[in-house]
Amino acid sequence: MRINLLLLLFLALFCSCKEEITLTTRSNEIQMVVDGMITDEPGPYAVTLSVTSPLGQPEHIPLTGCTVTITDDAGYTEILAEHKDGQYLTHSEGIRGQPGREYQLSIQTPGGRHYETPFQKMSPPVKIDSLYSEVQYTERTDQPGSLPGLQFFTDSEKASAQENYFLWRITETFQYELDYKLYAIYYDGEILINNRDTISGYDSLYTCWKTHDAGTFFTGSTSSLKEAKIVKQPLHYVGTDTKRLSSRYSFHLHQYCIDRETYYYWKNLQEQITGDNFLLAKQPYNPTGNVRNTSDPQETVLGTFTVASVTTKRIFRSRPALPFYLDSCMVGTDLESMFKTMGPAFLVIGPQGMGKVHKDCIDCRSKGGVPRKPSFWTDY
Amino acid sequence: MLSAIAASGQPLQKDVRIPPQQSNWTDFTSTLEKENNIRFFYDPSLLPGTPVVVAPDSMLLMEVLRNYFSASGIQVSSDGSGNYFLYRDFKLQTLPGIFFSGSVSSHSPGEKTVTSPSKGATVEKYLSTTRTLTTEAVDIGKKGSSHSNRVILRGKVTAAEEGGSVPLATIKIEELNRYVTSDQSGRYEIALEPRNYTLTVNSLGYFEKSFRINLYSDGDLNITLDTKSILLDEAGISAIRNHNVQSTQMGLDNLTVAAIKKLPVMLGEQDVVKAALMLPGVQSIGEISSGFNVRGSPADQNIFYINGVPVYNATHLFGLFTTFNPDAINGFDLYKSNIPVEYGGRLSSIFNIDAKNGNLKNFSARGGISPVSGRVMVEGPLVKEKASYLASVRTTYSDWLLKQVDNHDISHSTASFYDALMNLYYRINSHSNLSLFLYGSEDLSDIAFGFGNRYANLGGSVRWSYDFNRNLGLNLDLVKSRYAYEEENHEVAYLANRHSFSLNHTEMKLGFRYNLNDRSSLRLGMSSELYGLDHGDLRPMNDESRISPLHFQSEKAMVNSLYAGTLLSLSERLSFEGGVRGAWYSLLGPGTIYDYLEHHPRESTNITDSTHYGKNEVISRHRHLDLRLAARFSLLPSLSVKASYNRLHQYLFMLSNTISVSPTNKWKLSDPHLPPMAGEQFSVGLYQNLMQNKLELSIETYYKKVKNLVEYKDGADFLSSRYPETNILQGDLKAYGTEFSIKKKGGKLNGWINYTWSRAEVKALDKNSGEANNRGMAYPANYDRPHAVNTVFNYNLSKRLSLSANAVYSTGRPVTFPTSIYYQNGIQITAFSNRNAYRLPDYFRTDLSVNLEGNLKKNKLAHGSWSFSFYNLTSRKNPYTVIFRNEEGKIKGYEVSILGTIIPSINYNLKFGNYEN
Repeated sequence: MRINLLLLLFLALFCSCKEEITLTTRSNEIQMVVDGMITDEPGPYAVTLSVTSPLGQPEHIPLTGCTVTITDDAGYTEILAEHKDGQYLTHSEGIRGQPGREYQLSIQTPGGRHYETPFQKMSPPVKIDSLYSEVQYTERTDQPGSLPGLQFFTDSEKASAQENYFLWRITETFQYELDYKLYAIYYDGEILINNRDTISGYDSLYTCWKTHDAGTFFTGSTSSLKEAKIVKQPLHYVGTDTKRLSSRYSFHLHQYCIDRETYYYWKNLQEQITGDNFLLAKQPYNPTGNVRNTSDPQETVLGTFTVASVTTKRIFRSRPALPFYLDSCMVGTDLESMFKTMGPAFLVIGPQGMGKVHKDCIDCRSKGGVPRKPSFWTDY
Repeated sequence: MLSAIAASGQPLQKDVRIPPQQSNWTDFTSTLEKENNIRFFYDPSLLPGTPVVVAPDSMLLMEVLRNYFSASGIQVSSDGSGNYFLYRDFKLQTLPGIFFSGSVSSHSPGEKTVTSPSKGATVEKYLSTTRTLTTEAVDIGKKGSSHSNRVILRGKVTAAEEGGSVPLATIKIEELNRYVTSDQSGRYEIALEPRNYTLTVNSLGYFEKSFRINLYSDGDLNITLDTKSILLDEAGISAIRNHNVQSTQMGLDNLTVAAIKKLPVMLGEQDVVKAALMLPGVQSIGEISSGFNVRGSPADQNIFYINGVPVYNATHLFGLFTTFNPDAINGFDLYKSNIPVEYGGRLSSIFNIDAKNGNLKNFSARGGISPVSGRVMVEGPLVKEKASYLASVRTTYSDWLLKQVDNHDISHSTASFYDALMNLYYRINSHSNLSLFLYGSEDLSDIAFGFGNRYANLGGSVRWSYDFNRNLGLNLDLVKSRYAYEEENHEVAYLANRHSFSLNHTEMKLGFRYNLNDRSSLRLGMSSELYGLDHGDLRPMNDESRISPLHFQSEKAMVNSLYAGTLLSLSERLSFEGGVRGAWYSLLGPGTIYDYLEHHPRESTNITDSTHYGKNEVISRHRHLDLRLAARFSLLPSLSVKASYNRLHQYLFMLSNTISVSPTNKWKLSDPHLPPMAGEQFSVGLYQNLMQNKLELSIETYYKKVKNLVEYKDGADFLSSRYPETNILQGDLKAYGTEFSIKKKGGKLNGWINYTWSRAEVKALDKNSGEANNRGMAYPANYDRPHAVNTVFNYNLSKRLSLSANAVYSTGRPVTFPTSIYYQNGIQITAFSNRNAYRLPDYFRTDLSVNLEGNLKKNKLAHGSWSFSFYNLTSRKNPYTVIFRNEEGKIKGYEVSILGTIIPSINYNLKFGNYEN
């Protein structure tokens, strides 16, 4: 935040400029990426192996055909099965993480290289005490003025140990409705009225639920605190410029308790991806996790294998009494030209009377959701 | 050459009326000489070559001459007795013994004082002696008292107006064609055969002075020079003519404040550091980096001294401005190659700023305003001719700027600064003086959201100079300086914290100068420095904060040094300068030192043991013998070759993991885990002066190696750990380059062009634990700019109007770029290139300033001047940095330019008195 503001200050004071540049890179060194986790939740646990992709064409390039094993400190070893390209899973009846036990990941590539992590102890879980939100205003990025929204916070219960390290990830689910209900379809010279003529079922596409990872993570630690309790840790911010808060919103927090090294990995990674790399920002570099090439320790292996205990908590938020800044569907009122075509055209009753809209505007699935209420969903 | 047209014997006429005519110069003058007993003194090359035209009505001769010469800037004066002088720049070449102007005072053993004539009298004296071709000679020593064939003449050159010393004045012994130069404190000394001599004294910015002496035995001759009322030459580099060729010193740049004031500025603020960036081998990260980099070294290898007081943070407002008020300083010296043996503790450069002494004769005041700040300076005598004071204050009103911004966070932010200094000077007697100097600066900023800091420098020095006799003098300095900051971070309420830091520097220095003979000297001295670093506590900022206080161990160290240096002129062509400086460093308790598992990364989890040291118990000790060697060989009188070698150690370093230098960078002393930085530099250079020393050419090449360079480990967070060594890696720095420079001094058009090719490379790898930044590979330093060109031009259109323009080009600084993408937890993450593997686009900027002086009337209460500056004339958007953002799943790069537009500004200055004083 402070970096942004300094930037803003200079931009505002001295008409400094920010201009987009084309990013071209001379080399495209391919590096191995490990993304895996074992928790105390029931498995299966996934380890995803991939390699870096070029800047211009970001894609997931799986690393297939590896032998991936997880070993615990009791001598139990499980070979993970390649469930799909690059994704290796433990058996659902197989290894089960337990706080206090240690786990090691090792990887043998088809090319004969061997990678492994040290044994890492699973930290004891710390319960989430509460999860709550406050109305906050942020600077709008696209235009002057402030944008209201909800800032989410969490408190943890007091932990028994003084030093606790946390990784927080959020899965958000939101219910959303279309701007307009379908009134009629024009097709081949005919207007078919919804719920009267032979078409129906469109009303079931009016409300959807979308679940996704919030695309961000947060880290925190109690090691510098007076008592081993996190109080009001800021998490995700949800603005009123999207439909997420427009109907009903579920915030599902996963609180992972990790060890110190893993914490620094995620913290440094977070600084790299959220920092604006400006003025007070640190030198960019590639944080590396705990995976090492056993014969070449200097090889950069990106990603990490996280050993964590986890607790979760979910809260719901109904539409807050705040102004929303949403783009709504365009309603075309030029129906005359529509009649010159074969169609189909989708008609709604807009603010200026009947008009036509794009097909996406009468199908909530077009925004990525599903028209099925999730099992955990509560409407009150 | 001066040509004097011989006088005829006719009676003298005062007002010559010239009838209308048009004739060439030769005819015009020969008629006048024949008919009117008039003589003209002039340099024939000054003549415009056009006919002399007298308008329909008859005119007085003076008017005719002034009209005729006005366009070519030639001055005309008459003594009222038929002699007319035509000259430019007051640079009349004098004939030996012809005139005597100004004051000469001499005392013991042969006490002789010539009272200082008033200004008007000077002209009269000058003119009458011209006619008689004789001058009253000053007797020095007692007739017949010396039987030696060598006696010592010595004294001090001082400025008539300010009473300050005039360093680097040249005193020419006309009969012998020999020169002697006054030193930094204005002193000179020369051994001569006892007889009569004519001396001509010259110094930039002062009137030349000539007089005759009858030298009988050892004696003193103090010389007072009058400040030039016309500042035509002031924008030059203040070194004596031929000094760059004749001295053994290499890599020394100095600028007078007059030169600095002419340079175009940003937002109307004149700035010594910004001026220094125009010199070869001096670089910075960008517009808002507070530090500067000399010959490939990081910013902490430089130190600022103002009148002996070290200044640890010389920046205001995130580095936009520098903390030295230009009204209160004379100029600066920047030693970047062979650092004088008097200074230790920094590997790269000494930035020595010289504050003004107060005026010993009259009260004076000056001040100015710019869009950002206002400043006032007052000076005057406390006891006339004996003691003076000078005080200056500069403060900002930049808050109003912030309030204009239509953004809640910025308009509710504050940023302010001030700086102030005071200088008291007391001339105890002719061979001893005392000065007390105080300096302070402070910056306060609070960005409305989450982050605030304040930092301050406060220091003072007492200097006593005493001369035992003509060969031996001493300087005693007592110095104290404190740098402190406090930072606040309340981005996250439960982590809201406040941290303060302070660095106390106490120093005692004693230095002796001993002159072996007129060409060789010896410097001996000792110093004792005490450093106290209070790393403070991390404390909760308010009741909401949940953090527990974290105490960081304080540090204390003592550095005792002894030095000896000598300047030996082995022959006219060869001179040698050598110095040794022995330093004893001890880190003192109380303190706890932790041991770490061998061959493992230094991390708190690898601590095996700890040792506690009691108060003032020695924790670690280092002894070093630093060397300074330099030699000069003259191939021709105006062409010399020089070489130097320096070996230095540095015990105090600054830790920085931001690209620019932030005010809250941490300072740290060498400890058992962190051995001192060691630096070596070799330089070789070729120096030539052309066109009577008006043009200076030089080439200097250097190679520098630094061991135990201190770098933060990637991702280090200083405030999260009580064990600073766990955040630090030590490495090597290698820097080399060649600097080409052309300077034109004096004249209507002056300035310089320099080109530097240089590289700086860092490698940070701990061989013991295998820990490394950039996987142990060398990488270019953040300020590595292989090609750099600086040009500065000053053009004096008239006495009142001058233009300055500069142009700066350099290779873009290195940056780390994203090179590929990977996924972690489904989140797209950018992988970066090796450190600093890419570069920003090249930097180019031109600035222009117009300086307009008020009228030149001699009798007026106050004199005003305006400066109009246009910074970044071409509005080029020079990128300061690049930022990368993930926007809808695509990594986008943006170049951010600060000051990417033309910035006009006005600066108004006002002072008591007329233009010249």
